[in-house]
Amino acid sequence: MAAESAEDWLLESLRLYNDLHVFELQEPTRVIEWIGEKSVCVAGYENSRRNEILQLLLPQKLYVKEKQGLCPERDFKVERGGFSDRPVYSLRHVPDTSLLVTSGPPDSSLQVWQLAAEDTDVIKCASTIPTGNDSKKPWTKIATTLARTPCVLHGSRVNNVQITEIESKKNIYTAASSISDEVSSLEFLDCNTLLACCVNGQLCLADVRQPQSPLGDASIPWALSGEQWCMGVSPGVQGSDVNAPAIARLSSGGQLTLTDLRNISKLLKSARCKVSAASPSTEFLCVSWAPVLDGCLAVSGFNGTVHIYDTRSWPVSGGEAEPLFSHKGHILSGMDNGGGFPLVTTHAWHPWKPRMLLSAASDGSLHVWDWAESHKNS
Amino acid sequence: MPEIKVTPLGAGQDVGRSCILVSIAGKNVMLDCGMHMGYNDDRRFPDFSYITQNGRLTDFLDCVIISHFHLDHCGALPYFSEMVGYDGPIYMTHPTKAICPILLEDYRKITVDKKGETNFFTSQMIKDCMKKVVAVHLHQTVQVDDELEIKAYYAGHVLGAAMFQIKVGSESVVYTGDYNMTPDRHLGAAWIDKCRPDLLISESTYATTIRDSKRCRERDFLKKVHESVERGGKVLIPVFALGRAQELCILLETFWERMNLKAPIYFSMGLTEKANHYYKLFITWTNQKIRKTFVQRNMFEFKHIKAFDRAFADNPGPMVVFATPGMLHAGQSLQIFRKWAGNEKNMVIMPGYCVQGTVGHKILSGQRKLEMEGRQILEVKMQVEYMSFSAHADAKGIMQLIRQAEPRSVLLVHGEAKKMEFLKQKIEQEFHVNCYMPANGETITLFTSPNIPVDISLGLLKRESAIGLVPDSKKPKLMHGTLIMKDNSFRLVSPEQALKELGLGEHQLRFTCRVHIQDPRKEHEMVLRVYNHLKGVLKDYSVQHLPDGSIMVESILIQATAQSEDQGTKVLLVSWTYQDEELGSYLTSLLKKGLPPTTA
Repeated sequence: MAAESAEDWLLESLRLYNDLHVFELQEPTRVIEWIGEKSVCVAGYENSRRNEILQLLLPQKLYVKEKQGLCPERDFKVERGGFSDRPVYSLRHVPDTSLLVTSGPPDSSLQVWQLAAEDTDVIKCASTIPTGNDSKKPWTKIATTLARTPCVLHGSRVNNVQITEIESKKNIYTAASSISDEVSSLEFLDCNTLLACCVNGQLCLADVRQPQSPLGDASIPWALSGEQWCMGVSPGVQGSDVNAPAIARLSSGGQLTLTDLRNISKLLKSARCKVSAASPSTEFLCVSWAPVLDGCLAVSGFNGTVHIYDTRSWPVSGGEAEPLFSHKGHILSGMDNGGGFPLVTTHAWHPWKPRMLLSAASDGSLHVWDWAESHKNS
Repeated sequence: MPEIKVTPLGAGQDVGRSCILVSIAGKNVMLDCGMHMGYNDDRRFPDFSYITQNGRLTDFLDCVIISHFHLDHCGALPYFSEMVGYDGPIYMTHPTKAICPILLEDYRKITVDKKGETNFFTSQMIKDCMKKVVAVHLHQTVQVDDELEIKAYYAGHVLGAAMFQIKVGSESVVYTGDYNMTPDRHLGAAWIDKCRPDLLISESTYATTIRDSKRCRERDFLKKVHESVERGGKVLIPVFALGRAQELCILLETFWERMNLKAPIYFSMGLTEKANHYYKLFITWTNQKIRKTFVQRNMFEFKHIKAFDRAFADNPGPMVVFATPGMLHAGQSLQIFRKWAGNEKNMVIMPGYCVQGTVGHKILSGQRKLEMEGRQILEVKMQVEYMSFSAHADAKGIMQLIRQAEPRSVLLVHGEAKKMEFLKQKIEQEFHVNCYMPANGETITLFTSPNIPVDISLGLLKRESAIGLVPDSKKPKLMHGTLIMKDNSFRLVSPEQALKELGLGEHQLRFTCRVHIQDPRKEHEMVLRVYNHLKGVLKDYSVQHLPDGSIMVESILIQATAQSEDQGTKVLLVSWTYQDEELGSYLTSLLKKGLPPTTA
């Protein structure tokens, strides 16, 4: 990237963003997981070498709520770090604990990590949970919750979705389902309800209190066939606005669909993202709801940009939607990455700053940005 | 075993007052001599009593090396050399030598005049101290004495900052001081060759951070300036040395041009007076690429930046002013500050660390009511911003430097051991080296295995490589020769060559042993029997039956003789050279055990 266009973008960024931070990690990450409201975890996904898991404390300015005099530093602090022999494809924190669960090739087992230790800053691997799945199957997707005890929801296909208690390694739920479709995302809606999204777009809902209950069998609406899908669930689902749709699904072709939790087989709304080329796989596709801005979604994984969409302004016809904002920093900020085009691997919203996100790309970049409200991209 | 000892007297696990003592091959070197800016009493100085309880420091230390002009690396130097007492050489780069005394004098003025301290070094002491300084160039090997040599490497960070290699014979230590691995607009990145020191001492203040990009910091700076100017405010930027101010000027100039802004930008005259001097210092210090940028852009021929006149401070409307000194403790920047402080539309952007007691330090700590001369209270309503442009190495940078230098061990200073376990493991696993993190006053001892270079004669090399298989470059090859140590040189030659040089003839020592064998048959039948027996037992050795009737086991000769008293006993003569003693004895005892009974 020529230095001049990087300068151009930087000057443009003065009006596009309230705040902008550009970091370079030693290794790219495909996970960004919040630990409380002040730090995030990232991890490497290289196959051939040791990877690092890092817990990064945000620059002070980004987590203080009251206006606090001067917060000079703009840097992340590496609070803790650990080493993983395998690539980390998925990383989840068990809320209100110091436990992390990761998964990734070469097999479907899960690794449990211990964050807090008084006398050291090393994140240690506490245990491994074997999942009993065939190692040839795709890697395990995970979600975590703190019910009575820390639990992890995991599976790679609908018929091997289970919930395991982390400390005892006991299985407390197994999906009694004959569906063998590959799972792309798993979420706990609350500690008793789980939701799975299949690669083919199908949604499956289940109540954990009825062990062995079959996952809800929802038929696939015509609009969803032929592409690969992932989902994003609205974070404040329980007790949130009853009228707000809660589940967004994103396809590799750029299709976005919204579904209400009360009736998951019905499509509420849909639109197409503004992307020039379809993504070949769901590897890095990521869609998530804004925690503060009503009805806003962030989408990434097609290229080096992150798009923000306001679902409330989508055309009724279901055609192409115009993004509210497009973050092009990963392509334009002029990082010296040997001329390739970086691909955004993941993104995450800030828990309470309305327009702030973190995004990471395949070139190791990690951005924290807060786009300016009144300005739209040209 | 030879050892290297390192003791941090300050730094270690405490940020501020870097001062490290290194003992290498009997030489003692002090690395940096910094002041701890957070303390007002003796704790601000490193604990020099540690070095030697009795005995003069000048006799004990071979030299002192100062890495750069920041006060936490050189602030205690005049105290150390003039008040504690040291008369030996002090090494630093040329820019450091030029800038150090100015900073020290500034610091002295603030501490004594403003804070009224008495136990402090004087202006004359600073001058006397600087007389002991020997300035060095980058990559210049400097002989401190006939055994100790030092060499400075470019460290980036600030003008004149250097990393130093300290070498005695084949043992060496590299001290990084403060450095950074990413170039900025006016300074390049640190660089060192693959010098493979026994120990690399690196600062690790920022090792546990991941730094925001330079461009984003600049963006932040521009945004702040722009917002102030847009609302009609005035922006004061106190600066010290030319380098950083130059960078900010270029940045603003570009921005003003792009955005077609009209507000005036000024720099104060104080800056220009010193400017030419620093400019020259600076231009020889930077590399070709940066030098070109500065030459193209003649320093004060900016389109939008003009020289300041103190009367302009009262002009209405927005403006930006760069003024010295950097900590707002005196002079022009303080004057302007006093005029603008009362207006909330205005802004002051502090460029870096400020010493305690200065106005800069006070406002950065949040003070909004300042007591000026004559008991006047100044209310600070203007916005106070802090901009950290200082460049330090982060974890990635440290790994890069270690990769470049390839040290055998690493020692980290400036960090907190508990919070650096991860980094320690990272370094140890990536480079397979030991990583140490001593506390203040704690001594780390490293044992080194220095290499002793030896000249090998060509003849010996040729001969040894002719024997056996093609040498594997990855495996050590065992060679036999004679080591001659003469007149401080070491030579490896073949034994024949050595004997020749010594004028001695080579003697061969040969042993012959008689072994009696009970065998009534004829001689040659017995020999055959012996041969078959040996061939069967000594499977790993070469056993030959020679045409003249003797047997050869490797190079040992076995012959039958006819001399025996009775017919039933045969005598074997076993003969070997001194070199084959082991095999010879073994063979003899084997034969003495007797031969196996013959089969029919």
